[in-house]
Amino acid sequence: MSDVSSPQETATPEDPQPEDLGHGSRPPSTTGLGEWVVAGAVFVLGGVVLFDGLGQRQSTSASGIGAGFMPIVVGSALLALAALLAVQLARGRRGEPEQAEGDVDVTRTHWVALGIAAAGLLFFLFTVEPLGFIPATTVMFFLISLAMGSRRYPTAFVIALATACVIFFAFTKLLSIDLPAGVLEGII
Amino acid sequence: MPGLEGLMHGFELAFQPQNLIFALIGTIVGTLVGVLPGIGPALTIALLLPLTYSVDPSAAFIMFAGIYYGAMYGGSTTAILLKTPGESGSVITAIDGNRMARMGRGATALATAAIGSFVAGTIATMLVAFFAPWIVDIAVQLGPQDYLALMVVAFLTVSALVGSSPLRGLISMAVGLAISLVGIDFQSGQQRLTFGLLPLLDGIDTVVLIVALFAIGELFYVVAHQSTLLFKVMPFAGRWMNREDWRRSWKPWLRGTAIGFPLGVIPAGGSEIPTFLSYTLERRLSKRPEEFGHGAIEGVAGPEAANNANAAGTMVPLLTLGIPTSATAAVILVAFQQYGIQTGPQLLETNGPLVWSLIASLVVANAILLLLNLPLVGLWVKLLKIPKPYMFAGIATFAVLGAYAAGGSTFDVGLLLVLGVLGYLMRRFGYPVSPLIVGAILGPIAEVQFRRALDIAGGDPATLVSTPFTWAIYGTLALVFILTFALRRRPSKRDVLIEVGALPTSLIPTIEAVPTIETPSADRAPRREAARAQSDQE
Repeated sequence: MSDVSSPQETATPEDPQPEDLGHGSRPPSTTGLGEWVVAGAVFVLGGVVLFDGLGQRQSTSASGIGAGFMPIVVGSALLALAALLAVQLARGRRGEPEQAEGDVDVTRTHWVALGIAAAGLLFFLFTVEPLGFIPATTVMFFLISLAMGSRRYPTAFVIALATACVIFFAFTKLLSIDLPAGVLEGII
Repeated sequence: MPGLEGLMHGFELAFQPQNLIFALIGTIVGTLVGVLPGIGPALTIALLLPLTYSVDPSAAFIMFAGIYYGAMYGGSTTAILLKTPGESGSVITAIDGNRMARMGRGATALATAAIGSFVAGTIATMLVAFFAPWIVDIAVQLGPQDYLALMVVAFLTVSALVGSSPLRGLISMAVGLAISLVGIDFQSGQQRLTFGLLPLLDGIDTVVLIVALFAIGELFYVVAHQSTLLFKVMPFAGRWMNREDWRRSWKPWLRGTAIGFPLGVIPAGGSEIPTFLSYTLERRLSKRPEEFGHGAIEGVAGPEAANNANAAGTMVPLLTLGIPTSATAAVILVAFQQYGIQTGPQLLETNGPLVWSLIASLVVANAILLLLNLPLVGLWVKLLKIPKPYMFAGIATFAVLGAYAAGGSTFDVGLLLVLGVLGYLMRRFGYPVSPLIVGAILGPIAEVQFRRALDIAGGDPATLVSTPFTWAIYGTLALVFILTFALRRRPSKRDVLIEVGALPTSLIPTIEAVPTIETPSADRAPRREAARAQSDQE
């Protein structure tokens, strides 16, 4: 366990707080701006789906109901639901953040950590084919464990590399599922 | 009795040594993954799908049976020892189960959950075998409009009854329907919502969708909002059940089964309602209702049995009608589709041996779990000691691997990330995920039936309500909704949970925080206000 706690931590060992990661966290948000953004996104999605439906060619089927019908129904439904949501929000009703995971506090957002995790995933996305599965996975695993609060960099890196190698060989050799070897092509 | 005959044949298949090994592997891997916090059965199956790509369908489905129950068992283990249920069906278990673990009765709680799941799962699976052929007999006579009616029921009940806010459930379902539209229209070949992107012509891969919403969404959510770096794992202590525990458990097991199974069979998805009903029932029947919320064994035994019986019950609409009513059933449907197996009433006829061996394997997997996992639970608990950073990095690795392996291209990985952001937003702002998945998978099937019905009738919409079956379905639906909302208005779930002290204190402020700022009156009776805000939404 000790290898996840930060060296300069002041919190008790049983309950280390991630604030010691030095990541910026904001005071509790009271504006509900996020809720409105989500409502707006639902509305925009509804519009996109509706217009896609309206743009479909006239159907030649027996009923005259073609490819455009369902998008029109779903798009209109989304627009109506977004409007209802806006009414609820305007009356001060908010959603309940998911609690099933436990130990989460949505009044704080660790933006830096989120950025690091996203960077790790994007790194995999852009390098898995040119560099290969093992390097891409190692970096991604390493970055995500950092984002999650691991502070023993060498340990995290070794675990990342080992995980990537084990998965690569298990999938390519045992399950015969092809994964790109990339720069290690020919070596492994 | 064709059901029992088929089941016997299924057992013959399931008991072949090779298939037993597949069931064993499935239960072990399923438990292994399912015990990880925040990973429910649906995600477990979706993540493990690539493992089964290289085996033949019947072995794969036997493995699925093991994975399914293994994941459910793993979920209740985490719920009890960690209080992170990971899926809605274990939320109720977490209340008294975690209390029992805190009182040093963790082993007893795990035992009553495991044995209760076994009892419920076995009875319910037998009932599946009994009911399935009977329902197929009816199902083959149904027309497209009747199917559409059943799917409308599934859509509305899954979205409006799951989670705390029906509106958010409906939005989630509608977004799922929108996602299901992406790709080429089945009838005209026209492109819908593809935005000129070639890989979108085939639509959005359901496995990618599920893994993104559950695994990547979860990762972002925990990274952004975690408040501790460690899991607070309860010490796993105490003895298995004593005579008194057995005496207090067996009736809740049976009652839980009786509640869970029928609610799984009717296409009114979600294990939330049956587990909650079982909990309230046990509390009402108990001589010591004050113990509930403080570690009452009945509060673990009943809901766990209900959860498992419910899961088995959802197999009935899935296998006989091809209608999935839970996220997990949806993933199993995807698995069928990946093997090119058409689900629906003809499934039992065309793939009888496969279906029966799946059903028999559910029973076998249940037995393996009981024999294997009760003694091995200490081992699974050790998994929870893996440091959180590595656990989540590992989950993310398997998620991107699954997405990459599913399509063999990075496009699906990109899609995974985009949909992962959607999964994060849904968690953060209280939108349930299951309606989206059911919408995305059931949407295209419903559209086919809808357009087929209208094509047959030459476009006359009256055909949609032209059969006695549709009258019965829509009538019942209307009745159920009126009754549910009328009943919910009085003793809301929140009231009961607050009463037993089960609602985490962290939840109450999140609801109150808003009204206290905007409406000062909420200060006076914050709890009642919170409860009212809840029931008003409905």
